[in-house]
Amino acid sequence: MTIAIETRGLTRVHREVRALDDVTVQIRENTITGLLGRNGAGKTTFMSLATAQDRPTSGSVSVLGESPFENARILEQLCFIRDNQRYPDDYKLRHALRAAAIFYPNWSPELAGELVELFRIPQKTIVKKFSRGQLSALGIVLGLASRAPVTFFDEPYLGLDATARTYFYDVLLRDYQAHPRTILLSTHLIDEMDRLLERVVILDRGRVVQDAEVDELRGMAHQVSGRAAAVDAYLAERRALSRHRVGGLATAVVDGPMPQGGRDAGGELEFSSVSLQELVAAYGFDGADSLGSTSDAAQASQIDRQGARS
Amino acid sequence: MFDDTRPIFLQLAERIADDILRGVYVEGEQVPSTNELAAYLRINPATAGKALNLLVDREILVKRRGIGMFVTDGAKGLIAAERQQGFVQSFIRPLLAEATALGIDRAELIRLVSTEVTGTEVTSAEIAPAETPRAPAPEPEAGTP
Amino acid sequence: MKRIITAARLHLNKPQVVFASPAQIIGVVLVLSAIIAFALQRAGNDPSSPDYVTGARMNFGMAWALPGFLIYYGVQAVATTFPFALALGVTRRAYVLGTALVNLILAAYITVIMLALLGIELATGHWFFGLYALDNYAFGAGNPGVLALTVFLGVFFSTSVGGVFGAVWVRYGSRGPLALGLGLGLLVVIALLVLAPQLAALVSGITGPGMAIAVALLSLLAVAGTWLTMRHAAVR
Repeated sequence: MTIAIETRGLTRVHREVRALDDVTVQIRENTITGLLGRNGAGKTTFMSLATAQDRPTSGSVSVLGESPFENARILEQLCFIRDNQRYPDDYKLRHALRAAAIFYPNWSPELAGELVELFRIPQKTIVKKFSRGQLSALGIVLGLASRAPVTFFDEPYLGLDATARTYFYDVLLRDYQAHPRTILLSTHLIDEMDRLLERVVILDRGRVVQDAEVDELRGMAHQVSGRAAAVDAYLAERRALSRHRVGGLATAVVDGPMPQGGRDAGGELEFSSVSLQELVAAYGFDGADSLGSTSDAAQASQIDRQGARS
Repeated sequence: MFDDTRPIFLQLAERIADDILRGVYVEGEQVPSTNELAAYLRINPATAGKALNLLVDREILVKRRGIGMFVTDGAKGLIAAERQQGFVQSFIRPLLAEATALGIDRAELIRLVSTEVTGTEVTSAEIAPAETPRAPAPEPEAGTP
Repeated sequence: MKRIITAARLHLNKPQVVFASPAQIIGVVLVLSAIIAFALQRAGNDPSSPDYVTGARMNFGMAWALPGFLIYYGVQAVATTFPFALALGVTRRAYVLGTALVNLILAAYITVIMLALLGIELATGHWFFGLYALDNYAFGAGNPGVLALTVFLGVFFSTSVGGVFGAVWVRYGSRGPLALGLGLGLLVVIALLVLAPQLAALVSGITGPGMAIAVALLSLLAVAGTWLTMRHAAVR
């Protein structure tokens, strides 16, 4: 299995903010990998560094075996149309398509044409006046029709209606199968897109929280719900990723595989699996930290006491 | 089509096994390829591939190089046997649990099951105290369809 | 080299900006100059008198017409086309050199237009009615060699300087060009103060070869400056 993108201790600090913090991952060639996490988690920064549009503060990134910075041979095989991509003044659709055709040897005018029609991208309006959805559609056209060996999509669905998104997923899968390539895409629409992904990398505050196959990942956590006291007792020995409490009832997403059976013996607690979206959301929670059970329990009982008083 | 309780490849493997069991795919017939499944179900081809490979491991499907995946001879029997093993776990235990939660006692439960089995209403008087219900003589009740 | 040409093609992708706009500006200035000359003559000035000729040759409209546009062009070539070029996988080096190449082409293109117009002007006895548009002191008073050199270097210099400002904006944000402008302004003031005693001699040599070399060198310096700035620029 060849590695398309490899980072080692990749760090990017910008004005005291650690956009990426010691990130070490490997993205495999010819896979669709999802880059997930909250806004500001570092997804766009990661892609920027991988395409040498930005430079690391420390650590390294290599794409297709080499550092991408000012490396024409590697850069020619990458395509990264950002979600806020700037186009030259007065560009219209045909200029953008023509430019991409110049730079990508694998460019497919037929696929571009098909997508332009599907997305109904206007031919006569200048790109500067495109709506959010039209801009995204243009980004998708350029990204997919380029057939670049390593293609990046940064939240490509912004502003797209549900039909357009379905077209995108369909064409993405179809073209990916016909012309395999490495695709890295960041998304918040996890429920909608998780079935397109083979692997995911979850980022939180610039750090890698998970790097695994989608199926593996979902088996690594579960949800528990029931009376708050019972949930707290259950959590005493375990690590909670997130916790939600309303009155006397609580729910938590817990690290570790689900215990056998849907309910525990006493029927007090109910266990269920988590969807990928719930898991990613849980990783992004600030309430439950990674320090462990005692502080969680202490915090929980403190909230309990406050609740009892009021 | 798929829920988020279990990995998609497992659910897909089950669906295909279901289809084989119910005769949608007969033994010796070709099943859709990884790519076809992926495109049709809008899932990653690797996931579709995993599902098919799982079935190959269980000898329900066989791969013919260059052609595709085919249902093996005896696949139906294999699946049925597997399902029967899981029948108690997957169906009977949940049934008993639900009945308990609803306050349906054992006798009533057996009466309900017998009704479903025979297709006509069965009264509790006809249920023998023994564990296994015997098929009773149907006693038509007024207004029973 | 091939990659530099490919990068250059990105600019030429919209030929309207590169070729049509300068031609239109030249056309407009020509027409304006014609209107002014016509008005002057109607007011009684005799086009055949030596005073008129000298005065007319001081019409530097043609010389000033383009720098503003060219600087704008130089800035946008670097500032707005650059992010798109990066998205398409162009290296910064290829981009800066490709931009310089297009600037050379643009300079040659405008020079050819100006030379052609000068040719027509001289051949038609100044457009049949004493319009001194191309034949002016900035362009060497009718000397095609001087005109060609001045226009070529002038265009290349303007676009390259525009490019540096664009690069500084990309790298440092909106305060960058302001700081650069102030810095350069300061340098010019200091230079003037230092050279004040020799100023008269310098000015008389203004179309001399020394000036030409100086401008050429400054242009190359601008290109180098653009590249060095861009090398560490990030696109946000």
